[in-house]
Amino acid sequence: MTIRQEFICIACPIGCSLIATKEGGNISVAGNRCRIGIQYAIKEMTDPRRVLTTSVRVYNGGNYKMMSVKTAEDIPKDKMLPCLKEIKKLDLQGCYNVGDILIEDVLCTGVNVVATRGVVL
Amino acid sequence: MKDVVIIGGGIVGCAIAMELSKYKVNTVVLEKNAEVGMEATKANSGIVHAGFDCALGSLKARFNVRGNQLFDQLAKDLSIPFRKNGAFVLAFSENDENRLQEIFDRGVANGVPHLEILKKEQILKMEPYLSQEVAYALHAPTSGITFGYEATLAFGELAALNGVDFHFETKVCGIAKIENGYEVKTNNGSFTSRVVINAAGTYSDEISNLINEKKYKIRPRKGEYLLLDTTAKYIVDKTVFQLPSKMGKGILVAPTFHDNILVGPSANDIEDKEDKSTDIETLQNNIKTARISIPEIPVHMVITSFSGLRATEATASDFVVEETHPGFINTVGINSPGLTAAPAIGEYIRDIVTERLQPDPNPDFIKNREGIKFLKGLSLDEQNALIKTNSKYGNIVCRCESITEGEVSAAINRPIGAKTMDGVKFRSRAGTGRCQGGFCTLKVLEILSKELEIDVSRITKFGKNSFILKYEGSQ
Amino acid sequence: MKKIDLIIIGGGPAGLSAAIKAREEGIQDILVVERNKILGGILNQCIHNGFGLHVFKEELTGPEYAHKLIERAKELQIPFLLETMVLDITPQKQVKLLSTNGVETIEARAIILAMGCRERPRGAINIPGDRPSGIFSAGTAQELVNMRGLKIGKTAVIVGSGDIGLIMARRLTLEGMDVKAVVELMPFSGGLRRNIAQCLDDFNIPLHLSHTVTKIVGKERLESIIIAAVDENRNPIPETERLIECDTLLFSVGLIPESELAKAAGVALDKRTNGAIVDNNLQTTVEGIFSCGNTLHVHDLVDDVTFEAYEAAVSAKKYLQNNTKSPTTVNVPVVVSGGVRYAVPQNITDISQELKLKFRVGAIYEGANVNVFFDNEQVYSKTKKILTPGEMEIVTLSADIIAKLQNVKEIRIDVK
Repeated sequence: MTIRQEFICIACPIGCSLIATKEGGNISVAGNRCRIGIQYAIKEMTDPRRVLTTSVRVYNGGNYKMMSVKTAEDIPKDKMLPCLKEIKKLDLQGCYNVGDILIEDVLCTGVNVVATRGVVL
Repeated sequence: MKDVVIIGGGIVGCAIAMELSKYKVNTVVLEKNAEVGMEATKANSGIVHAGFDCALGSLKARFNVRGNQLFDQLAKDLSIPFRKNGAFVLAFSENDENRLQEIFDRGVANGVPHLEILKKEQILKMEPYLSQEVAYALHAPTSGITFGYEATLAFGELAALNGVDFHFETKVCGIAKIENGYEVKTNNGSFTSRVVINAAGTYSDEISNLINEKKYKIRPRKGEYLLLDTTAKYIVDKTVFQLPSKMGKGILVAPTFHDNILVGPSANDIEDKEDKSTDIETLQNNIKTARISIPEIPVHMVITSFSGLRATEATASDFVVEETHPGFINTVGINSPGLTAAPAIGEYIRDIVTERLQPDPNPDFIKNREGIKFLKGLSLDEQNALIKTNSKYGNIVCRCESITEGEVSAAINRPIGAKTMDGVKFRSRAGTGRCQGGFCTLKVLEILSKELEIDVSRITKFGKNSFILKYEGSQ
Repeated sequence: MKKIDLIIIGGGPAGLSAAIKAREEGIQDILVVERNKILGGILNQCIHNGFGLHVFKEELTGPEYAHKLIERAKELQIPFLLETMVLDITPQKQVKLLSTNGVETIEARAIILAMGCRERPRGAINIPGDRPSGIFSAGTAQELVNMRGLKIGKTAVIVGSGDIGLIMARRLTLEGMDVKAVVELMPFSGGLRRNIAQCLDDFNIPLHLSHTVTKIVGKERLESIIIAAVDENRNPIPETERLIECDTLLFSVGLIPESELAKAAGVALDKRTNGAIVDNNLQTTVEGIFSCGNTLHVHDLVDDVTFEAYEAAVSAKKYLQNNTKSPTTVNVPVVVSGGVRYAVPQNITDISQELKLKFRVGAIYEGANVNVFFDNEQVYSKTKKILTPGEMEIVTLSADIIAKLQNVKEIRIDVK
């Protein structure tokens, strides 16, 4: 059975139109301008993933500041909203640096949630 | 029991309140909105008309010419922005000269000073961007520009400084005659007073109809405007009219006091008193018509469009200012030139009230009112002195207009302080510039929240349910 | 009056990059002036990823990109002022600063303008209807949500499919809002293709191309909008009108360079970019004032902003070193034709170096030829698979080719 899917590559701002064709165990990719495009199409067909970014409140006394966070790597697409819920549960206080791990191995994805902006109070 | 209840906190209500505060009269103003001047007043062009186009012998003519005379002194006493930039009425063909002459004659009869009819060369010398097609123009040097909202605030604040109480978000739903006066019912309880003054603008018919046999009907005449960036100010300095029509003074092009350019207003009679929408055809027609006066209006410099409703009565061609029952005074159908006329209407009604109540003059009457102190426009030394006494003036809020936290905070803490985003905008001008609030919305929200000590989610644009953010308490 | 060799106005990506490069080039006396409480500019609220592939060779979020620049600037001990607003610049390069310390004027020997851009407001495009609350520019909404964690509404429609609009569609969805549609006037999106994929398609948010909002409805808070398809002249087709209920409307209808200070300084502006007219040293028409980043012309990628800021810094260095105007060997204007909407720089004065000609097209071109002519001589030609208004293109002409400019009257860039 042949499965054909079209994607827009999100690996860089060019946004190539990719066509991935799966025949048996083989996936061939067309439309890419670089190697990353092939990887992306294969991943998108078999295990689509995204980096999740959001921002969370960090409290100190009665005030709060916003800190931006991300998953350190891409996570399965269907885990985005569940992971977001986990991040929203965070109760953060004090100071943070860029790269600080806020949640380790979020929802068993093997990926950490990290701070992308420091918070100094 | 109060002495006077004024229904409506627009320019007319505030002018009356100011005049009455010169006497020992216990006055309250009931305003249905969260701020003064949020209906017809806020969409006013700010033109202080000379008075040449009002019908001879009309109240409009009388109050317009008198109001224009009063503005110079009021501007000084109350820190109201005011500049006599003069006005032109343009005529484009030889045939129109007669019509121009008619207006000239009427103006002279109305008592408008210094009118003159100019020829093409003189006109273009004064306003080089006007159409080459112009043949003649009536020149009225006493025509001026103010900022209608600031004038309203100034009148209101002077009244407040002299003891007049303002009740906001207080909507009148009934009026009953009682012994020695009236009971005015509102959503915030009842007020009893000896005199009631209806200054409800677009709603003046409904207020009058609550108690009077004779029924009025305000049929709002919508006017839509385009506002151009201050960089367009080079195109015109005078207020430029075309020959008037039955619907009003027609499309004008005029500078505002703050150097923006106004193009409008249109004039369409509508039914819905809440309809302050704008529409493309009307705005395009504004431009098209304005281009007859100034062919090269830079349309790409338009920063916003807005509309307002003139309180036009269905059948009355003149202002209605009358005492219908002993102690019940109506102002109905105060459309153009309502802003210019307001101080004169105030005087006129003050005389009716003092005649009835025979009050003593207010011996402690405060004559002057200071406006908000603006950093912009001060000398370097003055700026530094201001920042030294109040460091908020060193914190910029609105980049486009160089408005700081100092002005915004002052706007909130005035005798009649801002409670809403629009209230801050009209008082401090934060958010009125090129970016139209793009950069300062969050800052103003947070300053309002801090100064009023309420959560940001409760801050509104202009009261009621106009919440800026998601407000869980609203429906 | 206090004097400083180089004042950089703006502490966002352009200003920071310029400062770093200037210091690396050996300029000691530098001052960066930033109006916000923190450095990093708009990057701070761009919490999504996709930045830095070219400059840092890794995919970063906006705050991380800013962080890298800030760390480097601190390492280089570059002095900066925060919460300081530049009120005015004179042609003599006197810079008037406002802060809670008061108003101060500093004279600069050279200035790099790096003020960024602002959003086109709703009024400028004259969408008719009511004036309720619940209407934001996309960037303001981004600030409210990302920088303050505020909830702006329940259901939203986004007007304009530029990148900020697309990014906000995803962001609001993740924050629990129901984003009903993105409406775009043009027959194509103004944003990057990957953003359509990952911001709209991932969340099944419909993109209505060739559509416009014909009415805004709501007396207090926004209640609904009416949208309609437009014909080829971009006029709404009445029979296609339909109502969408929403309490929030975001406008992402383009960015305009912040040019007020440039204007104050007497710098001539390009009507097409709304930014300064510059030569290939990024020097404006006022000697010693340079411009880079979004205040010069709106960029798609922050990486390009950084590279451009580097160029401005190198030029400022040369200027300060020579203590005179950059060596003008020629003065050749760059003109555009065919589908090219604008090109930067607008003048070539220095023929000693390679030239990066940045340009944008006015419509979508498939399989188009990009040609560069020195008078009538074609010096560059390349066929591009696709050119879109949403993507800035760069043509690089080598120093060898540029050296031929000596007796040329104009450079023309053309797309056919």
